[in-house]
Amino acid sequence: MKKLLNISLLLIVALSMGLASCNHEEKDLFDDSAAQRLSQTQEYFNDLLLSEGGKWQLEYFTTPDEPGYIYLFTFKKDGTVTISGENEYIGKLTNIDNSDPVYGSETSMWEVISDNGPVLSLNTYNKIFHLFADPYDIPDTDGSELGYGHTGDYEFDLMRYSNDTLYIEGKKHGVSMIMTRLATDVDDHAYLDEVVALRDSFFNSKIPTVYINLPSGYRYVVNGGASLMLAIYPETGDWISETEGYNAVVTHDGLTFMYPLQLMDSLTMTPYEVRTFKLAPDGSLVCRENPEITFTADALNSLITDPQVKWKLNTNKSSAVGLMEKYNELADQLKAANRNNGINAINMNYDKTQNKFVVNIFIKLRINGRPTTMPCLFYLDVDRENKDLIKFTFNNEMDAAATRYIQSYSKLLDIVNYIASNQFKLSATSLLAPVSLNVAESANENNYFVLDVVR
Amino acid sequence: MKSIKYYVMSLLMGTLVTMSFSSCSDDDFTETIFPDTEDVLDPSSATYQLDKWLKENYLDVYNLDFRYKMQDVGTNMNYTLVPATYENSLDLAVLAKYLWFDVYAKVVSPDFLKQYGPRIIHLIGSAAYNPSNGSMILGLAEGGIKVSLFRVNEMDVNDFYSMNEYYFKTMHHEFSHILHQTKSYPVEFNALSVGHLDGTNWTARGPEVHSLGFVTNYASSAYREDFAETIANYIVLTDAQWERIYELAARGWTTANSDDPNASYYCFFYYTNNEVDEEKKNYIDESDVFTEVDADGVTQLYYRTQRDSDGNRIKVYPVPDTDGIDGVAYLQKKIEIARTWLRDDWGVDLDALRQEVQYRQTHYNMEELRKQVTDIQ
Repeated sequence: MKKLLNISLLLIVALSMGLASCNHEEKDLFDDSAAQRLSQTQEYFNDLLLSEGGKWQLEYFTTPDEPGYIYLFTFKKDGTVTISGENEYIGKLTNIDNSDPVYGSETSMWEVISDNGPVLSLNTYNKIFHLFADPYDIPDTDGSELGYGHTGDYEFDLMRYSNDTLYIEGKKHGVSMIMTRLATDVDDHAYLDEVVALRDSFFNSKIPTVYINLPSGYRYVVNGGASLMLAIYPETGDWISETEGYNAVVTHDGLTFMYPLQLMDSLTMTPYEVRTFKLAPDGSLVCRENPEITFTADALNSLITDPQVKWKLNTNKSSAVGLMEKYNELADQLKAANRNNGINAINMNYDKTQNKFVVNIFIKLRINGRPTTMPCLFYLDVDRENKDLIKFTFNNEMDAAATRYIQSYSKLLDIVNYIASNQFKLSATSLLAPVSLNVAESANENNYFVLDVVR
Repeated sequence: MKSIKYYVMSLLMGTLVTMSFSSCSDDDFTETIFPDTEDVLDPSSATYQLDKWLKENYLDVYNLDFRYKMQDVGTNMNYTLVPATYENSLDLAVLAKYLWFDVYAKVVSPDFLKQYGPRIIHLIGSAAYNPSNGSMILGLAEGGIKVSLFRVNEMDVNDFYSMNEYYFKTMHHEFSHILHQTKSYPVEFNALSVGHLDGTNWTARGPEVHSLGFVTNYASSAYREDFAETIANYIVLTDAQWERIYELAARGWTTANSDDPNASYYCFFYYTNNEVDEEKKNYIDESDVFTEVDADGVTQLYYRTQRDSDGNRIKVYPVPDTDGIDGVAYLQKKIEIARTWLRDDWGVDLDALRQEVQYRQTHYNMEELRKQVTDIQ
């Protein structure tokens, strides 16, 4: 009986196996086979790239060791793609010593192929674009990159598409990148010229330090912006041990980092992850992921007293009334003594050893019959208010030359007294690269002078 | 002894289990999982002319897929490579047919490459560099099926010598690999090189390899490369180039530092200030040597740019050949082994092949060859 029970149990198990063995059919999950679905996806991305004129902008990155580059693609149904770029390496194709961005455009072939998924393959050589994938030595570097080159990709996994943005990933090196749709009437050369101009306007080497401002007011210090290889550290942190490098690309309307920045607000202990910034009308960069995070230079009334920055009076752009009145009166006084006398320039800077703002008036004199430029230095104290108001105080502190020449040319003092007698409001066309400051009387903003950065 | 009931139950069990497996056999295999599309050439494609020509001249005739549009999965992903340009791909496609496929069709038989030729030719724009030793790969033959040709973007159809070095020679080299991967070549070929290969530092070797019986430094890297290089160079190098190789092979070669694998080898030396003293011996490049026939009709060698303290020319001496190897004889023996193997095992007349290639490689008209493609409507 026991044996019969055992056999019956075995029979039930065997029967169950027999039935269960048919349960592997999973065809209801998808209507089509995997290969058919892949083929459909391939066709979808092929049509997507061709749609609406087929023009796209790629924010192209190779490695974290070099900045990104903007490339424009125009995909055609006949299998051709016209690729345009403007960078120094395109210039090096014809002049190895070139270091300026040069425009180039060339047509080659493209295809959406199926690999593990849909892949955009730029499958014939395009010298404008594949130069970043070539294994040849990079001409302007110390080491040898023979066998590696820039290690750029030319096959891209097509990941997803939303809001006119195609998210792709370099197939070999795995760098995530963004392609955005462009209007068909965009002129490649003009568009890329504008990108280059924007790059120059964002970061200016004469304003070496800029800041990422977090919502609480906490800041990160950013150096090296002009090279787009940005060194970033928290303002209250240690610049040696806490500096991290991030590379970026300037786009037509902003800036994108290769990898997201991981920022920590030490005041509120809030972490932030940001990657893309959009150019704002005031010239600052506003984070797309969190508009309360901005990229600016220092507050203008701090920047004007940044010891790293030196300013020069722009007499052509300053208003006729105000400082220029005093300027012209001094010029007249100098000329009255000798018709060859005059004013060479008025420079201003902050002397951190003396903790004074220095107004340096270069006067041209004839001394022993020879033309001589004589700097006269006047030292002023500074009071700041908000981010843009500044007031100078003059306590008759000046160097020996100034002490000597105010005896003959009293109008020297009038200039300094004018600067010290007003509160000024500072403004600039770009808060990120304020290379030209408008210094206007707070009481009457029609009276202003302009200072241009000279270093 | 087991009961009948046991056997009945076992039979029943076995039947059920069999049914359980057979119940899965109702799958319908008639439909493919792949999209039901036909690979047809699109006349509106920018590459239609070349694609059509490749189909008619390679795919239809030789069942050969001539791939010029690069997919990196078809390459060794450890190398950094780029695609070939369309223009150079076109040139190389027509040249490969003229200088390789058509030659075998004419000299051997139209079916020879249909049977033994590669099934894929893959063009790569750049060289495949090995940064660790500075070498670069010019061609690859993988399993007798696929030949990869590199450096296509640097091709200059007007530079016959570089075309030979980087492409035509590579084609014959890789095809030789395909042949010997199908039928082994005689082991006596390898016996001629025992003890003289250097698989690690062959890139640092120079013309001294000729005196060891190698046609190139790459030939000295491995037996199979020696064999392929011997055939390929015999076919494509001109008589003048071979005479030069034999001349270098007949010389003695030495180095100032035999322990250094990267040391340069020389075949001439002189004594400082013409003072014959072993400690004053210096080695000298051939480019610094000039020859002059003296009054007795004897050819003398001199240093081109230096004189001794008395203003006399500095005498130059050839390095004695002490390696015990007759480089010229070894080279000729290797060619003979290859010639016999090709004739007996493959029915290929190596000299006829060489003669045809030598004629064609100096008599091709690039514009006419391109027209085969560009005239396609």
